[in-house]
Amino acid sequence: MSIIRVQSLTKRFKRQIRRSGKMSAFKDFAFPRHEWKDAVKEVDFQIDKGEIVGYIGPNGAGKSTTIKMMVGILVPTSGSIEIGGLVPYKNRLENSRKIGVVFGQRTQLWWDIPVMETFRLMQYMYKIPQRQFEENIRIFTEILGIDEFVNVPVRQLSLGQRMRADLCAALLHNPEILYLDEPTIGLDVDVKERVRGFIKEVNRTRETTVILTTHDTSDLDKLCSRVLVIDQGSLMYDGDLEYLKRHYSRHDVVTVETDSEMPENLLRTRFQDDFTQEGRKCHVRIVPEKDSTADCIAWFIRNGRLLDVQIRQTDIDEVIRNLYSTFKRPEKETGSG
Amino acid sequence: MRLYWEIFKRSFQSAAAYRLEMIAQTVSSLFGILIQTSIWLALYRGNAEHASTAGQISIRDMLTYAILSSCVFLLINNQMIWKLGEKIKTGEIAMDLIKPIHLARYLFSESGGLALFRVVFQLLPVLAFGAVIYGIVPPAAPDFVFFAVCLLNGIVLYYLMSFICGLIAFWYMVNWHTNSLFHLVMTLFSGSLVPLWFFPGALSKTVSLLPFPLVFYGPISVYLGKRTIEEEMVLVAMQFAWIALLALLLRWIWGKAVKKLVIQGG
Ligand SMILES: Nc1ncnc2c1ncn2[C@@H]1O[C@H](COP(=O)(O)OP(=O)(O)O)[C@@H](O)[C@H]1O
Ligand SMILES: [Mg+2]
Repeated sequence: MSIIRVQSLTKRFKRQIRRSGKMSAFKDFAFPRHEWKDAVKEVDFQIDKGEIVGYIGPNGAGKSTTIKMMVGILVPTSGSIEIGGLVPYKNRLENSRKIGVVFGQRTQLWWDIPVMETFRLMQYMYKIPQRQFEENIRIFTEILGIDEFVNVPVRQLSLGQRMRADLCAALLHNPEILYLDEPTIGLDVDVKERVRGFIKEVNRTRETTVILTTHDTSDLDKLCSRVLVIDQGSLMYDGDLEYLKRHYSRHDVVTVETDSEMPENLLRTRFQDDFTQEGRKCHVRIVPEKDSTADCIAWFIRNGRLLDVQIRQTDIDEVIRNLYSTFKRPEKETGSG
Repeated sequence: MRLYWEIFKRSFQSAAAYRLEMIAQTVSSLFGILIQTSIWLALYRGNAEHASTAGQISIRDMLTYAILSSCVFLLINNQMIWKLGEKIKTGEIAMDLIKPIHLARYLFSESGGLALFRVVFQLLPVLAFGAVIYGIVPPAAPDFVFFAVCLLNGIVLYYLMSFICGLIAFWYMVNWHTNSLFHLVMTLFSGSLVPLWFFPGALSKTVSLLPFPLVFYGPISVYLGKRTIEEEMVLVAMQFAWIALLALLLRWIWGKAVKKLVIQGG
């Protein structure tokens, strides 16, 4: 049974066109011209209770717009959304009790008072029973280490601390659905790791449904089994993360450094054109259908003395570019690319 | 209800973070009192009394009026137009809309907490200063009860008016325009500088139908015993009527504003 049902969801924004050139400001003022922008176009998906779904796409793809419609602060131009049987923008208040939301660039914490005081305020706001409140604070302290800073006013927190506190604030009332819009943006690796662990734990123990938008591939690797890819407002892919990576991240790059320069013809017989040389360094593109990273490294070990090996996986933006070119190939061949 | 009490408490607590601003504001209200009282002293030019539409007004009445007016200002001042404007400009308003709260009530509790803080750390010093330097006319006991009711209503009225003006930012982004206009109208018609009893008769009658004088002139004239008990009751009734009307207006505009936001996306 799906907890989230989205059907041919479309959001069209009206935007003013800014002219350039002579008297442009005056013309813009006197004769404003508008254009319509479909931020989200005919998007369909359903999400089951307890899923963690990654919602990814390049900047301006329409991720935040979709999230805003799901939490009820934006009305769809057409199409429908149902969250746990409710239409979010029609039942904004009722919906708000069942969801937790974190927008990476914003905070819902009270700026001038200690974090704990905001948490207590949340307790009254969502009518959280004392037992549940204490239990949650205990768990959050354990996983996120918030006890280090719960008594510090929010304006004195680091970004990482604030994000951890914001996550807690969004989860104190045990929401059924958690929306995270770029929750790991700007965080250092250690905090990212903690945040991911926390999301995973909350999802496991409470069956919280999680929808997160991100730019960070490792967020997806660690958290999501399913991803939705959106680009220019249209849903490009809905399915397995593994499948997506296998099929669209065609060339992982292995960089090998050897103690002396490898002969070029030797490399060519093994890798054909899929390599470049940079003195003692050698970059090899691994094409999954023909080759594997392990075979490639094994070959280098047999043929030379290795000093260093680096494997760079295709990042998600590259995966999306590949995905995009697969779908839009006809246009690409004729257009500017 | 409990929620709003908790917001009130926290707001009081958070005000402590702005000690310097508080001190600066106290100093500026002291200067305000000095200026106003000097003007009145100059205008009275040694006369003990002046005739007005509310009978004879003594210089002591007038000095008390000026001091109380500064105190009322400290109580009601909430910067709501600026606050709402910022929320709308930065898009922070979205965070308020995804919480199970009524923003108008939330911000009312918040400004209540700040006001209480100002009562303790600004209003009392200012009042003490005024009382020591100029002497304040003490009110008659029944007047004081009416005064308290009138004052509270005035606070609510001012809040409603400023919130409604703040909502204009949903349509018209330049909120300092709204702010200056609102303050201009308040200064002219609320009686915060010149009591309505010195207005020409016709103007005074017209202005007293508006909600603005119900914030300053209304409560202070009651304090000074310039109204009969019937007039006091009419005043309070008018306040309630305006509160009801403005509350409805606020709800209506709020509905429109949210509708605009959820369609245009801020
Ligand atoms: N309120 C708005 N008015 C006009 N255009 C908007 C508005 N909000 C977003 N857009 C446009 O819609 C597109 C999608 O934006 P968004 O959903 O924020 O992208 P993402 O979160 O994927 O980076 C962008 O081109 C953006 O400029
Ligand atoms: Mg975004």
